[in-house]
Amino acid sequence: MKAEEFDQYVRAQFENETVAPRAEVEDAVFASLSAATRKRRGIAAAAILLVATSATALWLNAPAPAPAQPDAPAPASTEVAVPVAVAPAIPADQPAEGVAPVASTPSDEPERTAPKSKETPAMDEHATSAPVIMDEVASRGLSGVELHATSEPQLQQLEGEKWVLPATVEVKD
Amino acid sequence: MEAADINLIEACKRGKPSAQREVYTRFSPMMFAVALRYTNGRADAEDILQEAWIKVFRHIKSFSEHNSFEGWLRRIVVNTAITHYRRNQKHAFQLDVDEVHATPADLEAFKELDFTREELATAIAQLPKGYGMVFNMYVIEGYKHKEIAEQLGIDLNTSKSQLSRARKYLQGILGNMSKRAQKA
Repeated sequence: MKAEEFDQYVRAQFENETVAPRAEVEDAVFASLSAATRKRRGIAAAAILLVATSATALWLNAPAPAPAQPDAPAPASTEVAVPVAVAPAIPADQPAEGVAPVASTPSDEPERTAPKSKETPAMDEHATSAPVIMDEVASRGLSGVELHATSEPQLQQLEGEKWVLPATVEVKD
Repeated sequence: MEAADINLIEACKRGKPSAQREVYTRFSPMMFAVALRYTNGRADAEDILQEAWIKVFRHIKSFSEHNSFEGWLRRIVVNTAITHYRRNQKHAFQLDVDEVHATPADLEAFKELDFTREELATAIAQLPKGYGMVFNMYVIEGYKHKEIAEQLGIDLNTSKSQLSRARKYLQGILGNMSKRAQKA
């Protein structure tokens, strides 16, 4: 018998051969499939969540929108700030202990008024509201503290973006 | 391929569970028979079958209706069996070949072949593992030597020589079986 004949004989014997596997194999196959599907869905959901979280974080950390127009109303937050720092809890008729008299030279006086800025309306609000607050401090009568409130801020804007600090220069002999 | 089969496969591609169950029920007995020929027992064959089905459903979108679905399934089972075999016995293949020197009988001795499928299956199962692999792939599954060599990671001539030896070895086993049957 030739090899080809033998091969054909064997092949014919095994044609359409079937053997039924146990039923447990089917359960195992479909359990594995559903586990894989669940895993894939979980990964997809996690990916979507991650993308959404990243997008939200980016949106929240994005730079502030362009400043409001000059005629636009100032934001409400500009009403906060300065009064807390300036108003001490001291009776109006008693001098504060440990507060040394401060020299009244204009150059030594710390200036608390905010510089005027043309870009931020909120800063303008501070600058204009500061003298009012200083008046309130004066009305409480803190002895030893001499107010040097000026109606104008120290920094003065000339043309464009140029700011100058007015100063008096004394030339000694 | 019939229209009903195409629809069934399309439903499987969409991941429809009832279609997957139906395909499994129809083709599992054929696939399990293939897996059994490449293993030593049912437990290993069941592992291969399970692994093969997971591959089938995972990659069914790549199947083209122009090809034979059964042929595609058989190839997946054979490839899975080879992977399983390599994983479990990395160096056994070469040892098998080296251990077998004798070729007990010659095909010329057989004038007529009168063996049942079970007898042939028993004889093939007694072949050294490497011989059995090559014999199954070439004779029963219809692989070419080039494909066998690539799949098993052996030389083309090695595949040819192993097939030749496998035939003779199988002939010897069948000869002994027939002698025992005559005595009985």
